[in-house]
Amino acid sequence: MTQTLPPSPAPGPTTDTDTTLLVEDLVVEVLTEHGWATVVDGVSFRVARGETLGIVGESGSGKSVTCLSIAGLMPARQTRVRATTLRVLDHDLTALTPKQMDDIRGPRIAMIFQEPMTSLNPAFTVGDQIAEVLRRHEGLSRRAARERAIALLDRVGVPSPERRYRQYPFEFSGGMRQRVMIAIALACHPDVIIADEPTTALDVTVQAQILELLRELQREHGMSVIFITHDLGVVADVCDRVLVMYAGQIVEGAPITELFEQPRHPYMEGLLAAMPRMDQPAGELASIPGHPPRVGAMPDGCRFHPRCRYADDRCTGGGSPELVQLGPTHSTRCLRHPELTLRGTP
Amino acid sequence: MSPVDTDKGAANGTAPDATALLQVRDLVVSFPGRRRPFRAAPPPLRAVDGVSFDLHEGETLGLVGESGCGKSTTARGVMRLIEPAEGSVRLQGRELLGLPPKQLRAARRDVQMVFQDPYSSLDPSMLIRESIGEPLDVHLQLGRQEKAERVGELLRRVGLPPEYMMRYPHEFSGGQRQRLTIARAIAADPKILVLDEAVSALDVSTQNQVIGLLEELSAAIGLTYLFIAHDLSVVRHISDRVAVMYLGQIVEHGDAARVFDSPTHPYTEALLSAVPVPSPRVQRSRERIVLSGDPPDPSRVPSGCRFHTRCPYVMDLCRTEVPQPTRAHGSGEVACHLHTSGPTLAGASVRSLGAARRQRVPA
Repeated sequence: MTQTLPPSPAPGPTTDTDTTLLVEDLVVEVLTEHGWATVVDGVSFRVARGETLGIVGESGSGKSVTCLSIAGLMPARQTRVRATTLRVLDHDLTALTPKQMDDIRGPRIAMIFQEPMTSLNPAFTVGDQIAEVLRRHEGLSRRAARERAIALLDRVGVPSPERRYRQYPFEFSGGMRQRVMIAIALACHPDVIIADEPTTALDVTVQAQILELLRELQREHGMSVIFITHDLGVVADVCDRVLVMYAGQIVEGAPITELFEQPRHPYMEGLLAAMPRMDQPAGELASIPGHPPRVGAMPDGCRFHPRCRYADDRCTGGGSPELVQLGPTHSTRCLRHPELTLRGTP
Repeated sequence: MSPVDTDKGAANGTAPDATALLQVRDLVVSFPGRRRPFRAAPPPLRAVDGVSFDLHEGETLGLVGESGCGKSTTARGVMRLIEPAEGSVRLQGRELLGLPPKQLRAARRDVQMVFQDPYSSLDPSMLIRESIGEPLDVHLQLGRQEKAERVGELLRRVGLPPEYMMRYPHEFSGGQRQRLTIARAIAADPKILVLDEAVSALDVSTQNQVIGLLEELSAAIGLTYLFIAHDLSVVRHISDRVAVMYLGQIVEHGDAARVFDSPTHPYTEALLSAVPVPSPRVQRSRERIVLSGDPPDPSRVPSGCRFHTRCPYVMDLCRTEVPQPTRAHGSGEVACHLHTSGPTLAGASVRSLGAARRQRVPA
């Protein structure tokens, strides 16, 4: 049942009416001291309505660049973005001017970033920053925007929203600022929310509150969520399906439980073994030897082979292996996958 | 600053422990409150408010809690990087608080610190040889040749080739830099390393390599660690004992397995339940306790038990009376009224109370 379908097909649900975001063969190059370097190399995926798609990988794997490129937020002068398809519902993002892209961000795609401190403008009140979005995209009057903004603050769990509306970001705690970011993202009922490490800077008890809030809001609005994180615990908590990125490529994609219980790429097996578990007595902590390759210095063959315990002659030469479909929902970029039995977590 | 005499070690019920390598009693670190025009000067903010613990030779004590709970300030107070207002810090029985600068410098040789950010803790303009050699100059005054040999040996010890001593910090990755700061910390043969979020900025596989190195070092040269971190999974892995802090105080401590498997303080229980487990099946069937609100402002500490504003099991007593430490089942102590009144757990795990007794506390 294993078949190779070049170029890498987008894993995920096949019913097209369901797809909110479709990405095919996304390539992102950035300008470095040594010229143009490819940091995202042929990424394809789709996200269904109401689905939470996780993207995991170590720092530098290209997960954030993938999402920033989709949202058109990479700096234009130092970045080249190409894709066969980049579509949100029926909007073709590849054909849009920056101005038209401004109309997409907000009502179609919204983003939540890691650092709620730097994502809010310190010189404007929190309320103005939410109302601005509503006035810009929905053409609401000042008064109507104010009312909606207060209702949004209330919805995301900011206590005494009328008073908080008039306050500045510095008067908010980290968790409260992240709630404000969510209110801004949610203001125009986007079809896709991209959340880039939204809880990484927060304490665990606050992280639990924010994850709970995102879950509730998704149930209410039925939007798609792309959740970028390096924390496999958070992934296990919120995601329906996961893409694993390594050195600018997707190396594995699968539904959440399958991915954790039966990983099919040695990198994912390594990540799972490396996670210390709080619910289990201390055992040996595995680590993946070495470091991810540097941009512009990708190894031949499989990009993971210098760190892979299973690598043999086939893995070390030639181009990078293709992403292989193992079934309707599971894919891997490992050449040796038919002969390997990898360990997952129970 | 008068050193407290040893008999007064009963801060958390523990008898003074002569065998402890480091003994901290009733430590208070305070900062001046923020002054506002036309108002009376506010009382000082007590970021660490009566912390006591022992650190025994060869063990690792994990200090956990959320940001602002005072765990880093505790470490800085112990090192006297911030001068504590009250309390006692004894290293092998010798009081450090009030020690004149010269003697303090000599004593500090035994307690070294590693910080979170390996990018800002190495001087970018110094060769690695100079950075790692600096503590040797301060404490050992070795000759040139001896010093170079010693630096090479230290690099080997942390898993890096000795040739690296002729490089600059910018040539290294985050994980390698953290190895370098560890090499520098162990340069003058300290007894204790204070690790303040030392692995928090690293990716998981690099993090594990550094944890492996720390475990190796403690086995090879008998180091003792005070390991401060907010990542509870890492703390469980590395610690022999754990102390949990909330708003400047230790609310519970004990053997790592006991604290993680049978938490006796409601805050510990909530903290543990908030950490997502990397297994979809386990994580999605676990019971979660979502605490409402943020930790209170340390300048306006709640009356009674400091946790009462967020505690799912709060009783009337908790709002007025400060709980005293009592024995926890198995090991350690806990400061919570549930053990002496109400359900009277008497040291048993709060998990035995179950969800039925919890109430959602409004923010």
